[in-house]
Amino acid sequence: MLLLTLGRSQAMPPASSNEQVLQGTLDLLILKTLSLAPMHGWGLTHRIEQLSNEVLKVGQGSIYPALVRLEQRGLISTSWQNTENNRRAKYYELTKAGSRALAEELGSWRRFVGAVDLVLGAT
Amino acid sequence: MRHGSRLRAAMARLAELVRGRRIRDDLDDEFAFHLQMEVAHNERQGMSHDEAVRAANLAFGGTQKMREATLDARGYAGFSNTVRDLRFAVRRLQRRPGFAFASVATVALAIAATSAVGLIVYTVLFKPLPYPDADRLVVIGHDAPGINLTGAGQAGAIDALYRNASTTLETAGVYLENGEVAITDGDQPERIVSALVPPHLLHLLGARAQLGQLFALGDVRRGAVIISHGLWQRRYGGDSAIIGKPIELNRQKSTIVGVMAPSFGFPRPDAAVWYALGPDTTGAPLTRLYYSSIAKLKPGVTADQAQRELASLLTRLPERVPGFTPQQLADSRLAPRVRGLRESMTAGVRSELVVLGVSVGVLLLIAVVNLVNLFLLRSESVRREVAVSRALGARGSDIVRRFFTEGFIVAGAGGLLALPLAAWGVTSHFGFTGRQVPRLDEVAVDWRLFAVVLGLSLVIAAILCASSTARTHDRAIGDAVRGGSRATGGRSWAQVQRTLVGAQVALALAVLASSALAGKSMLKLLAVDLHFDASRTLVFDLPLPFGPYRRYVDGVRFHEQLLDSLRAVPGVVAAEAAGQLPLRGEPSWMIEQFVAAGDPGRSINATVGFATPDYFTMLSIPLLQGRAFEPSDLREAPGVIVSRSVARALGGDRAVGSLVRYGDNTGLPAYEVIGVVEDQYGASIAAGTLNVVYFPIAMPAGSEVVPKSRYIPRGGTSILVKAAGDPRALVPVVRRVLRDLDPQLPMANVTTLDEMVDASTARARLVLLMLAIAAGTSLLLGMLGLYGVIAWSVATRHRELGIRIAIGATPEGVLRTVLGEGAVVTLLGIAAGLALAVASGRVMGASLFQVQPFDPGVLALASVLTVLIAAVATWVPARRASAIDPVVALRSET
Repeated sequence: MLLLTLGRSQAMPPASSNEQVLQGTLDLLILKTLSLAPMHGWGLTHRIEQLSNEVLKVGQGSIYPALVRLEQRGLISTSWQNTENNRRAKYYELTKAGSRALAEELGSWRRFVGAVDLVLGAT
Repeated sequence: MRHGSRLRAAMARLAELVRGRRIRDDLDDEFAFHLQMEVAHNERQGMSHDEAVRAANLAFGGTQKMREATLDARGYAGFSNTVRDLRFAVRRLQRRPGFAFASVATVALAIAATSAVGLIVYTVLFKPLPYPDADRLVVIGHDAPGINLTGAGQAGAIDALYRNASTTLETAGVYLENGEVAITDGDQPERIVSALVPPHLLHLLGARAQLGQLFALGDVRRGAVIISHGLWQRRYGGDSAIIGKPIELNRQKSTIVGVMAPSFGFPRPDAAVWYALGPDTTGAPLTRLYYSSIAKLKPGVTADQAQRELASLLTRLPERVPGFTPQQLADSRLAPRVRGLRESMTAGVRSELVVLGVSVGVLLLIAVVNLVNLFLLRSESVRREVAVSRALGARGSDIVRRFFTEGFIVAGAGGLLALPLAAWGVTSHFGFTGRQVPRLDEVAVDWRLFAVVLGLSLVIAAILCASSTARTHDRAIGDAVRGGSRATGGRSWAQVQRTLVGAQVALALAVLASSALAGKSMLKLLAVDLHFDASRTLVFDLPLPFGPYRRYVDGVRFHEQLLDSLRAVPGVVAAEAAGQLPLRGEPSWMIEQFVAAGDPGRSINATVGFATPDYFTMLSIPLLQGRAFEPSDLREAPGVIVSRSVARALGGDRAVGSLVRYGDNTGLPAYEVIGVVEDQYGASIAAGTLNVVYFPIAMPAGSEVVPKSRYIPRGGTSILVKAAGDPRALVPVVRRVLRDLDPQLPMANVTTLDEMVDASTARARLVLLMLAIAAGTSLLLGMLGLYGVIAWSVATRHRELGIRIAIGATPEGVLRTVLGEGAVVTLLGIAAGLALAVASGRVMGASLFQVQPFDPGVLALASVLTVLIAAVATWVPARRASAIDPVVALRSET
């Protein structure tokens, strides 16, 4: 019931580790993109699409659950603002905790990539 | 970082719970914006509007799916989810009405019984009394074993000594419960409860005057009374000019000086008028120990400390009381007894209430265990359904939620039902009356009852939810879907269930044994020979007011006229008068010390009683020696009849003809013993028989002799009327006869001797009834539990047992195996139960009559009964097990 679901930190346990990695990557991409400038959801999907199609495999809409999770972890903050065309949209912005997390994640990502490269380069 | 973010996530979810609808609306807006942007983007790429829309939707992914995923990520999908869960749970319960009804009813009854009894027990035994500093209030009484006096009260002289000299008592005082007085002015005679209380005691107890004033300290002028709030409203309509008005009580005029604030009920809840009691330090202290006494301890002082100090103070008593020698003090072994006020008020019912409370608690435990078993069994039976759901992608949380809501609904429904039941139990006091149980008037339905019911419901909800979800967390989906053999996990669960059932058996046995003890005690009580015939006898009290019957001869003459008129009524077999009734407690001020005139060393404390000549014959009280009263016995020094115990103490075998006198030798004559009758029981059979010295109520024709005795039956006798048929049918006739003789006299406390006999055992019977109900229910529930567990065990081992039979086990062998399982649980339960039973018997000890707590017969009987019922409970599933067709079993899936 209500009380029960409060304790859960993941809506859907990822069925495979592949998805887990992809989810983590998506989070990282969002953080990195927002570190450059605050944006709304649509803007984010297009920027990420440019970088990697794989990540938004399921559909553009799947960025929103990720945004919610990041917001609940306190890494991004939201606000309703007007766009250039004077339409109301929800903007996402990196928080201080978010930039710290980004730095950490970038660090571990680089280490991960470095390790994989080493292994791959060893053959 | 993880923990912090988890907490933050939880807090965020909590906040969003509150803002649910706004969240959904915001999300819809956000999605709409996204799609608009995508459509615009597509159009800029050259697509037509329709193509742009289609492409946008495709790119987005399913809107509904994304919506749900996002809302889920928030951890909260809205209130509608809860409602849906509840609706499903209700529907699921509706499909199994038996289970639903049984569980809800069990919860309701268990909660109702526990909260109602719990509230009563708390209020009577533990709640602080409604007086300021109530925990420092104590009762002071005395014992004087040297003169056969136990449980006596306080004397004015001793009270004065304590008040002056004690360093442990802050203040003390004596008071008298005065019984009922009649309001004799106005056209509506009424009887009300009165008390004599010294002014400083009223202040001590925090009494306040609603109107007028309380008695001022030191002001004990006669004729001033305070009336209760209830009386003021009821009889005087809340007249604000009541102060100073006169009131006539028992034909004596008094003035109302104050109206008490509401809900001051000292010394009794129904006390309606208070007189001021002046100090009285006259008289030999040992004969004046009939006052009641209350004192307040100084802060930090215990009752024991006070008792020791007062005991040492008593040595100074002879200095203060002329005529009281240190030798008398030493011989009497006079000693004070100090006990907390609340303790002494509730001492009589303490053990019974504790037993009741514990057995109801046991009932609750058993009921909960049964419910847990029920829910565990249910979760087991839907295990496959759960596993299939999981395999199809349902999340653990969903499944858990499903069973959670069931447990929640059962507990909630049970709790709701329990409220009116509990309230009814509390207001009806379970049939106990204020006479039987003190402080019952303080028991009321208040926030405490709601709190307890709510608390119990929540606890039960938690237990049920936990037990129903315990099995659904299994990750071994494949195992469950195949319905394969039990893993180790399964075995340990069965162990848990067996332990639970064993506990149930133990508890049921303990309650059964306790009620058997109570039953045996009851039988012994009923078997006591009361030495009098209670059949068809109407009794009532006849208080003669002081005024017109001031002279002794007028009072006695009135009695003779009344009795003669009554005897003339058709249907009346006999009519007599007496100063006491069997099975009724006597006021302690009618107890005096008597000594054998010829041998002052032989003495006994006895009640002063009165009887008309044929009283003993009428009640068939055996006359053991001598003869009944005759007119010649009415002299200045009347002849007396004594009860057997008195005769033995004072005259040995030759009581008749010997002389007895009052122990303090105040110039009253010696009385000749003319007869000896059998002892009678006092207020409680358990307390034993009374010692009585009976004086005659009689008038020799033509003379006006006034017997010289400390008491003469001027007012306050009881009239007994024996009927040929139903004694109650005589009431109107008797009333008319009485009214013809004196229209101002009411009949008080009209009852029959049969009813009095019943009343004396009423409390024991009530406790027995409740224990029997608790025992029966516990036994039933325990056996249902045992049956359930064994049946389930057999059902889930269907295949295994089939295999056994297939490879050669005989049906009898299987039967024995299953019975054996049940036997182990039962025997272990019985072992534990016996220990519990002995312990509970000890707790009941005080309320048992002539029965030992450790009674091998009772324990053996209870154990045998439990074994028999357990055997029946295990027999049925065992039979079914032995009849398993191995072919069918091998093909089945369990």
